[in-house]
Amino acid sequence: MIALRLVRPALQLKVAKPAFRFSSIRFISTRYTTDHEWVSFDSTTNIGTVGITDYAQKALGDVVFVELPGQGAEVAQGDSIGAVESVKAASDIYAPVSGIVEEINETLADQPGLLNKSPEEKGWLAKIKLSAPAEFEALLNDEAYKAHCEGQ
Amino acid sequence: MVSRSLARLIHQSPFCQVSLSSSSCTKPLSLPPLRYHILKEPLPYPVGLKLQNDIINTRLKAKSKDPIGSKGRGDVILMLEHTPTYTTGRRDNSPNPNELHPEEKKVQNVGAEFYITKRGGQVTYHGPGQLVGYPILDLNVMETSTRCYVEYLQAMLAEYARDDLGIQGVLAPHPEGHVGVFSSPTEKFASIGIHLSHRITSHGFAMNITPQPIKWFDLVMACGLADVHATSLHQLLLRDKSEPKLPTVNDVAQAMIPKFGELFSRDIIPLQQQSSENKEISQITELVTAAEEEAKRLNEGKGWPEEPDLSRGQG
Repeated sequence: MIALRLVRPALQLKVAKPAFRFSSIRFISTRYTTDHEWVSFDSTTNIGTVGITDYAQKALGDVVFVELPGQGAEVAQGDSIGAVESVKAASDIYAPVSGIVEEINETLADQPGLLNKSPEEKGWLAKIKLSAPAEFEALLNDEAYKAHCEGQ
Repeated sequence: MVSRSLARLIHQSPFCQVSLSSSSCTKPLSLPPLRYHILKEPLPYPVGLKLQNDIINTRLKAKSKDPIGSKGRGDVILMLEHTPTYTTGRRDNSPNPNELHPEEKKVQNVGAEFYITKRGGQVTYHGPGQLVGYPILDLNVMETSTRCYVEYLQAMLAEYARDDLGIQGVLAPHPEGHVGVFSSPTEKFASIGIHLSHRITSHGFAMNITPQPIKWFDLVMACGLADVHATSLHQLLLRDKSEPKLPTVNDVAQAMIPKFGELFSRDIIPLQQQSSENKEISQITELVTAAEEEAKRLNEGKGWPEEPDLSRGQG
């Protein structure tokens, strides 16, 4: 028992040291792709929540159907992972980051309109466990994404 | 310069008016000409599907090599007829692949193939007597939203039927908001279904010209609309005029070409017309030629049924 107690903190220290900068406090930030997707990355869990931006939902019109990847699917950055259908047009959606699909937003099956009403909150598409977090850092920040939208 | 029809489109759609006036109209786009090609041979559906995918891959490759220079250069509109085929959109991609789509069951033995595609929309029919248009356009470069693109296609088809042919009571949009072009709330003659891949469009529209497609349409619940029936431009012309001139599928294709140019304020030239040595355009031309040859080889000596075969019983 004593031995274990002693070991534990030592192990924790080992793990915590290199990750300290990012994971000691919960740190969530959001970044964007030029395909008008957002990723909200939680550095403590290494999970990125993915969705489409408000700009994207406005351009699509009323969403009637959302096709999502399967839970547990391994996706690579840039892979087509599903589609959003509006006004007879199905737009492919792409994995903004590589990783494993941990969860998909099941409510969208019954309420695809959430993508229009709340694209950046309730209308999230999937949660991906990042396999290469550096990919996230290379996405557009808020300012760069705004500039991208205005430039279009 | 805003054309007469474009002005009407802007008037029709408050949303698209905003996007037009805020971007394309204040900052005139100088885009390369649109290209078009009318395919001579009726295309078996998978040949058309592969052609579209190949063109998109060629365009994405050109874009990755030269994001600025390739802008809109590969924009091409294909006009064609298919051999008899039913298709549906990705919404109908059955979760159980061992189970046939309910609409597919109905048409298993009638002499047409059935494909689930990546486009939007639901079940439809393609075959001789119907003009199919596949615009492969980069909407990012054209600064056009998905929603406006669909509205523009719809308005352009409606304008052709209403103004060029003089058909009465053309409805687009439908009073209940269904996409497509209708001649009454329960009769439809043109359908729209689009797929966007990195904002490049594929699939497009299908307009019934002769009555030949109608018997095939009657076997399915097209577009998921139970109380809507298919009709054709010929039937509508005969309804509205005493001795109408009935256009062929090729006549309609020819008439639509300048409308695309007008709609997007761009010159429109034949695909084969080489303005300069351009690799992207010559690759697309090669793909189209190969698809035409493949269609010819597949069609040779085989032909296709004029009417659905109902003798073997429907599923």
